[in-house]
Amino acid sequence: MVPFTVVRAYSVSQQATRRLINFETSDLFAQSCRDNECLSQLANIIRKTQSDKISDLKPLKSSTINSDRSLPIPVFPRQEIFDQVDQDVAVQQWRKFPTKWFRFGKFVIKNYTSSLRNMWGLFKDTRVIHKEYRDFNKLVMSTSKTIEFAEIEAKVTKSPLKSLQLTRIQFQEYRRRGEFYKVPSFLLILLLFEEFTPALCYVFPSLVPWNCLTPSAYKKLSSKGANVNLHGDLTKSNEYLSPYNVPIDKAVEFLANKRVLSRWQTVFYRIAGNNDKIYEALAQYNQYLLVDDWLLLTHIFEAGTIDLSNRELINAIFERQLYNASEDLGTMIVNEQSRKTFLYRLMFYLAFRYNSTLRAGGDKQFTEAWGVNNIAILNIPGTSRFLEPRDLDKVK
Amino acid sequence: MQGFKNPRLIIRQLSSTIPKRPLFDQVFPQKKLINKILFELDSKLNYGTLLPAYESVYDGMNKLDREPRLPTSFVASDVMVMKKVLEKVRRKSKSINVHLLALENALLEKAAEMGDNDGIALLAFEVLKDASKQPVSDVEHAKKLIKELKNLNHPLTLKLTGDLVFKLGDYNGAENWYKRFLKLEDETYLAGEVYQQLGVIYFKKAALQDAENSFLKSVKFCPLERVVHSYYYLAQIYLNSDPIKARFLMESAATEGFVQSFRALGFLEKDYFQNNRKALEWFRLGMELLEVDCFIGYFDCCIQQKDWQKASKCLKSLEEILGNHPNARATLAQFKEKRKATINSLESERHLGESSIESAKSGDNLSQENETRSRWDL
Repeated sequence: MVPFTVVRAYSVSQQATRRLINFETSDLFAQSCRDNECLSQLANIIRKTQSDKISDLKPLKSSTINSDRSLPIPVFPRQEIFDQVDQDVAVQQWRKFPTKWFRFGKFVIKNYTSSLRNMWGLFKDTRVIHKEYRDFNKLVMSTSKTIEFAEIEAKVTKSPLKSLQLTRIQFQEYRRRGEFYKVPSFLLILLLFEEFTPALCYVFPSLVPWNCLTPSAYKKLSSKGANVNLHGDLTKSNEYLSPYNVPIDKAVEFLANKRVLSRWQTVFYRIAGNNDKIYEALAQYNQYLLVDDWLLLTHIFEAGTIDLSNRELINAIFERQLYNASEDLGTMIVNEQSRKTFLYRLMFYLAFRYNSTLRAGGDKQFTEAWGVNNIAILNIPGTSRFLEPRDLDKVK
Repeated sequence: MQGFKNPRLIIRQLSSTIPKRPLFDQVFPQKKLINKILFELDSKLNYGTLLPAYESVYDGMNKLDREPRLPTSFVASDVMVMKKVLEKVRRKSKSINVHLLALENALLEKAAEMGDNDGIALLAFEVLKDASKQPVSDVEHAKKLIKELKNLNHPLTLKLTGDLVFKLGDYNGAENWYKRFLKLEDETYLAGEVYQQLGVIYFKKAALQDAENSFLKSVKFCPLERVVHSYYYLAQIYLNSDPIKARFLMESAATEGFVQSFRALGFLEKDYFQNNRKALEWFRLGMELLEVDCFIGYFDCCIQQKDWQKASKCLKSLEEILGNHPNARATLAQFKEKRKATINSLESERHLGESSIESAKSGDNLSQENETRSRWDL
């Protein structure tokens, strides 16, 4: 019989002594790698990963973590289309300008139709999982509970962590399934406004299914939500911050920007004096990230590579808020240096949170290390500032 | 009062070795409650039939030479129903009336005499529970009876064997006996209790998925008062992944007076849901049962609410309780060390008034900030 005691981490007495990752110089980064076992492992994997093999136009079909069909295109290949027209000898010189825009328009329409087709495919493919759970939040709770069980079992019986039955594709696609219900209204808009639809989508991005979002609307959304820091000033941050202790304005802004709750929902809850609904949504979002991180890390450690596609990578960066408001995620991701920068940012985030936990080879449960739904670390990047492409030399 | 009128009766009562019992009417529960329980037990018997039988057995307990008279139509299982009714009264009222308990035991013995297997099993295991204090012949006879009942695959015997083995610490053995029981009946109240025991076994083995399933079945088949542990353990299982559900389950356990749930609920409300008012209530209930953690939680809540007077009183009570126990002195010292600044400010408040508290509190805040700085290492 194995002795077993339940440890609950509501008490602030269980202090997690973590240090932010420092990349100001190569030596300091090396020191951070020595202090943080998870960072060291991830850095090795990232060095081995030949990220140039992954292109947004040819996403890895065999991967169990990328669901590109459910995500928006990061950037329209306008320049490539224009170049093709320029090089096309069949198109006479005087027709080049209208042909360029015609072909670009055709690409945009094709993108919409393929996105809608993908959304339908996704809706059909997630029927089985939907029958079992009926609601995404139930899946999140169930999976986070399973993760906790696996952690406790591994800790008590000193056995390796059990893998989840769920893959990241299944998890993410079920989350994005909710966007399917926007399709009818979107089709109506498309029918009524025709070529003005992209402009309308830009003004009201919440009307559009997530994978039909244009790069400009994506940029607008991402820059809007870049400055909501739930942890506040790191120097004054508390060890443990319950979701119910977050200032309500911040919680509302954060959730609306992450498309967890719509603005009108938050207004309704606040008028009704039901702030608990907002806090519950915040806790659920935190749990969602916990499960997604877990699935990502499991894949990374098991496969020994970070084969996130461009769309998934910027989505991960967006959801974890690992960017500045001035950064255009879509245009940056196609640049090799910027892509690497994003990979490192994600790696720092994961290493900061998961070092010394069972998932990263440590001996603590995640909740043991940080507490239950600790919002103080929800969007902490793990570093005192974001890594820039110019810093890449220091982390090599 | 009758005794005073009849001197013969007084002499007879005083000379008797049998303890004096109050009149049957004074101890027996109300008709409404008995009928409700009979309905719950899905029994064909009614209050009118049972009352004379109860009275007869009760009176028979006072007279060694008199056999209780039961209706001729009564079989052993009917006597067991009478016993179960009293058992339910005991559980529902959460109190033990010694006279009703004696009546319950008399009914159990009567049922066993009439050949009811449940009664025989219960009596046999009663003997085995503290076998060292019983005559050897009784123990041997009890073992023989249990063996025979096991051969008959009698469900209650299998469950009681599981309970006995569980108490001895052989969890694998207990699990086997419980599983054998569940093969025979798996949707009864008794099955609910067995699922609870199985859940505890799985919980101890850290097989939490199995534990959760067992506790859920236990909650499904049994009323709250019989499986409070299942509610508490389920709350423990959900505490990290679904605190709202955990709170509900813990509150259910608290309604049955489950001591450990007060402390857990207090900290859940205080640290997670940030509801100091509710936390104070739970801690207060826990304090009434002398739960040390509840005193600590109550003290912290009072400090957060700046209720210095209550905090001071709480500290005094804690000192009184823990100071008398040598083992608890270390806990008290640790508690005082961690809240040094706050306690000092409370002490000074006694002399200087409330103004000094504010300044000391700001000192506390400063120290917290310093801790935070080192925490983030910035």
